[in-house]
Amino acid sequence: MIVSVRKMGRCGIIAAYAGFTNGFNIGALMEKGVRLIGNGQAPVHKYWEEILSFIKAGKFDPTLYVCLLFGSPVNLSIGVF
Amino acid sequence: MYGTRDAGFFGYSHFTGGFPGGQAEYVRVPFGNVNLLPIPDNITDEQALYLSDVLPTSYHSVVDTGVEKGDVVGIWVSAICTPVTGITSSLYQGLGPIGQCAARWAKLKGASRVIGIDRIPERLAFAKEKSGIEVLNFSKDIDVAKKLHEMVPGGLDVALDCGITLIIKSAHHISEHVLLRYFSRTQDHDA
Repeated sequence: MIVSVRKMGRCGIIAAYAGFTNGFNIGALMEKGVRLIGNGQAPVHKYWEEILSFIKAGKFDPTLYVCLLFGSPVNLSIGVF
Repeated sequence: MYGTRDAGFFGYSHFTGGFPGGQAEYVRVPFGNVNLLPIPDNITDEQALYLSDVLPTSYHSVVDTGVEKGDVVGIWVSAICTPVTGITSSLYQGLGPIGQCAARWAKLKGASRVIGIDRIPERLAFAKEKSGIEVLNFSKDIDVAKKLHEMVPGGLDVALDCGITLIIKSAHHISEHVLLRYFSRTQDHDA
């Protein structure tokens, strides 16, 4: 990620991690001026009304990603619930 | 946790309080007038389902990292796997819901290009067709950073880690994996 972004680019980490990491490329981070952002656990209350308005307006269709309900092999490889 | 208190999460193991039931069919919610969102009648259960987790998480990654109009965004979504040996872990997340949704949010926030990185052909196809994004298959292009710089001269504006980007590429890395030093992702930070 750090090498893939442009100089002064941004890297956001929403994936769940715990503990430490080794071999971190601090050189690339500093020399390229990359902003590395730990996004933290999502503040659900902050966004859910905003997101609901996207759904109401039809701008975002979450049912695309509700996959296991339909159970096809392709969907099985994508769905989590 | 890490010096401060965190909230108690449903279904996030004892890491955050040991409250079961995040994805359960029914759950008893304390402080319901704060912790529950009324869903209008014209919104189906399937449309509302992800509001408790997947949608705020993917939305947050895009908003918090600051995706702006015109940005070129890369989404790291792959899981623990080994392109060299083909061994895969059961911890697969891939271009899963968070990555796919983040891609969609990024486009809604005005990103000019979104590139999803994964190795599962079905997921890549889904991302291309349904989410309308470009894809990079890292089992073909093992040097992800090099390929991205070819696709986007100068580099991405924003990179989002929406999976666990542990890609095991060497014997040394496998030994770390076996020794449960999962996060010693020496090579991946260079990507």
